[in-house]
Amino acid sequence: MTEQPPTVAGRLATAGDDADRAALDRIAAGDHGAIEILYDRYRAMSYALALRITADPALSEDIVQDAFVGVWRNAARYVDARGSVKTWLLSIVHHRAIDAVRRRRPTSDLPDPDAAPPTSLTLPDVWQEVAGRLDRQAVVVALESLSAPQREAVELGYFGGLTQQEIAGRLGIPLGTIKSRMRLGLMSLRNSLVFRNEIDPTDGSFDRGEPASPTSPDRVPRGEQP
Amino acid sequence: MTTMSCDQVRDLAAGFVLGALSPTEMEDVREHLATCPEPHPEFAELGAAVPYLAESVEPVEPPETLKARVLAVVAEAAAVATTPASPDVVPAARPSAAGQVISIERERVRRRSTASWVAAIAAVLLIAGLAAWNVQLRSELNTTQAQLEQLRTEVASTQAQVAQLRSDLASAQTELDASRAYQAAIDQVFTIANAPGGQAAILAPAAAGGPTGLAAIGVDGSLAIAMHDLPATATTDVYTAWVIGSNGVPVDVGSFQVGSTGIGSLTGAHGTSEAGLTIALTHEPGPGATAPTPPILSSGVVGSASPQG
Repeated sequence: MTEQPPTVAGRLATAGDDADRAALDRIAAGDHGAIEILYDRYRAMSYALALRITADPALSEDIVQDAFVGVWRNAARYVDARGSVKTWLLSIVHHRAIDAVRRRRPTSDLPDPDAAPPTSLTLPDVWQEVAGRLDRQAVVVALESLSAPQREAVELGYFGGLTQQEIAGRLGIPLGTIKSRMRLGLMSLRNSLVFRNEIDPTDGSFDRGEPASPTSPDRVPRGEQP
Repeated sequence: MTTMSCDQVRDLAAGFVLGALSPTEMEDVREHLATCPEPHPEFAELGAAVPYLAESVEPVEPPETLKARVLAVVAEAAAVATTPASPDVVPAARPSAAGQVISIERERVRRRSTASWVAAIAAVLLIAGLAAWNVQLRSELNTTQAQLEQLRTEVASTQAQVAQLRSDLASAQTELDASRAYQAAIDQVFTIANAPGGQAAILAPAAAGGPTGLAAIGVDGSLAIAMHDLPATATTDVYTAWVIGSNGVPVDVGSFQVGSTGIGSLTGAHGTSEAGLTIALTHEPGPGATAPTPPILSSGVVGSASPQG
């Protein structure tokens, strides 16, 4: 196996992840009341993600509800190497939100490509917030490093609920080009996050930790985490 | 479901981690990864940044009411299923070391073929059983409601019948009272007629369908008349009975009113009791008429023959 570069996702494991895992263990053991712990911590992120994708508050509530039911159902099957509990939960939210958007929207009714791009990925005005904000800041800056076409492809893919095929059709661009933009965009994003992490050791929001190797667990020891 | 090659899977890796593939493509990719010996490191690389995309969204507080709902639904799900069902969601991103991706997939596939199958089927059956039970309950509830409606309709119908019967009873009572009065008058006629020296007359209508009746005059001048088929009187008008003697002068012997039964009667007294008296009935605007107002509605000659009873 070739040397793996530092795993970016490992740095998403915050100090709260231990508490999250403990809660998840309780849930897996049948303590459904422990769901409240995860709900209180991630309700706003979950709701915001669903809202960003569906733009439908009521539907977003349902998605959040379904996601936490999914957490209850699959807690026992959560595998450590899937990343942090937060990542796992948000991926469930994302999956359900995409499903909901696709169910709601017939394939012929695609978003207007000339419409203004979503603004949630622009730079926030304030910096002094807690860790989540700084993490978001990191992503936003990283996204700024993408070319506009790459960013558009990544955003449409992740938040738009469109398939590659649909994006290509809607933008009037070959499918291969869309795939390439997505791939390059994701790689750029990853590299800029890694890169930023590597050269900014004083930034408390990121823990460089140790490079993950194929045999070591994905999670890395954490230092001070906001 | 087609079998994908490694190249095809690599080509779809970016779309896969973003969730931007069709369901069929997603399934094909998963299927491939579950069984492919190749490490496919591109999934870990491309998927590494995806969680950041999820977290890049500014948090938005949902309504406070959502919390209770979520906890309630989870509690309900916990009560229904004794074991967790098989995963219905597979995260698109697997930001783990590449080598672990395959083992995870293989592990999941192997698990599916063993205990999780049993658990999944049991959970589904339990839910299906409850669903069927729920359907059954609903069906019974609908039936009961339909029966209740039917009963309500019947009750309303019965109440209407009762009201009608009450009305009929009142009418019957009126008729009964009239009949009793008529019978009493008839009895009186017979009593007078059967007394020594009593005389009776059949009062025949002047026109067909007109009033018909019996009259009797006693030796002592007592008088009884019973009539039927009389048009009802209104407010002040009356029927007046006249006795006409040999001198041809009608004498008012009494007046009566008639209701809807068409029956009328009177008892009174007459001064004389000579033979061959005529009894006549007229319709007058009021009692106390000095002379009969034509036409004579009914009349008869009093004789000693026994009246037909």
